[in-house]
Amino acid sequence: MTVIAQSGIQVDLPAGWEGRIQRGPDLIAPAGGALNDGLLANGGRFYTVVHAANFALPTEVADYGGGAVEVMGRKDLLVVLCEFGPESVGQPMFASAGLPTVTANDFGTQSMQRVIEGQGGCQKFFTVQGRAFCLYVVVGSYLRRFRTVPLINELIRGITIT
Amino acid sequence: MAVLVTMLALAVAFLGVLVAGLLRSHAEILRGLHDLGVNLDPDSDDNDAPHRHTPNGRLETPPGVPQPRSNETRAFDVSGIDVSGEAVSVAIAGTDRLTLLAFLSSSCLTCRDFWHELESDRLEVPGGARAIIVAKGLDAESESAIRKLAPRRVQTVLSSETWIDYEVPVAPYFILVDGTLNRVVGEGAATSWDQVRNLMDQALADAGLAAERGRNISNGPRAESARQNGEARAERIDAELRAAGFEPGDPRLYQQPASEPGTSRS
Repeated sequence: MTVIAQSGIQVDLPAGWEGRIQRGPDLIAPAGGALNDGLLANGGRFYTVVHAANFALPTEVADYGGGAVEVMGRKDLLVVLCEFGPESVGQPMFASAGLPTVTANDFGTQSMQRVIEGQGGCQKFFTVQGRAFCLYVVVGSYLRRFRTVPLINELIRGITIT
Repeated sequence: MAVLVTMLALAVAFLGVLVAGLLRSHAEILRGLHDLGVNLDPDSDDNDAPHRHTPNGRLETPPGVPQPRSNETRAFDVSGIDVSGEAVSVAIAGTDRLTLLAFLSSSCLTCRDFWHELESDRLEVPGGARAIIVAKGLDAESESAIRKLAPRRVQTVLSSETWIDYEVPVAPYFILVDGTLNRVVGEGAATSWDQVRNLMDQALADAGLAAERGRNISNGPRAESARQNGEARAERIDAELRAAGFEPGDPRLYQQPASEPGTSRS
């Protein structure tokens, strides 16, 4: 088991999985703004994106998996955790509390940022520790999702947000 | 007359001290060279030379020649930060692919060529392996230099732990890891990408994986057959060496020939 941690998010990666924790575009601090554990000097926050995959992640992957989903095979899985700004906390869409898990029924072939034949995706929005997130999962094969969902949930259960 | 004899005696004594000093200096130089693995004695027989071992019992090889691994090194994932300082982990163990780890430094001149080679779109990685550059952490590397050198198309990870995990002796150094077998299948230092290719192609051939990877077979009976052929070959070679009196790790396997075949020693 390999562990990566940054910006208050820790991911315990099961064997064969790899991952990255990136600070999003809002990372760029304003003039004089210092970065300190996710907080800007002006009180703003930069937003974190986590990519975890059981295949070789390309060097450049967009927030919602662009650049990675195109190279996914049938057995490949991609889990993305995107953080939203504080203005999202308390909004109905993020009302669900706690890190969710996924079921086979959550997936759809049209539920992806970019529809690719054979793949399936799902999105769930939630709030943890006063931080708003979107969990976005892509499976390389929609038909195999009953077999791969347990693997995805194993990864999700290894995510800790503080 | 007495003064002359005294002066002569003093001169002889002075010259004697001088010669003794020179001989001592010469002996120290020879001893130093011997410690570095250079034997200048024309009468010595390298095959009979005593083999030196480190305190932990491992064979001590000449400078520039990595020590043989005491046992098979298992695969370790590569975890650290990328060139932007983001946390990153690259899966090596438990995958169904080959990974070529390029241990590079921003300061070594030989590494410069590899940083540029790995930028190329036409780069041929042995065995179709995924190339990953591993530099030491920021405690030992220049962040700005690494950012300038890191190619866009190959993942660069700064991780001193990975250097320790894989017992990397020098930079540049290359290690080929098979995620399926969960172990190192080839390794070595090189000064050019052609040398890396030759080194790893040979390692793949020895491991019986070349045919498998060349046909893009990652599983199934043909892949298993290729793998077993490699293991069978290794076992056969071990048996033949044992029959000749060589056990794995025998120091004589790491000696360089004292002379070219067909030449005689003077």
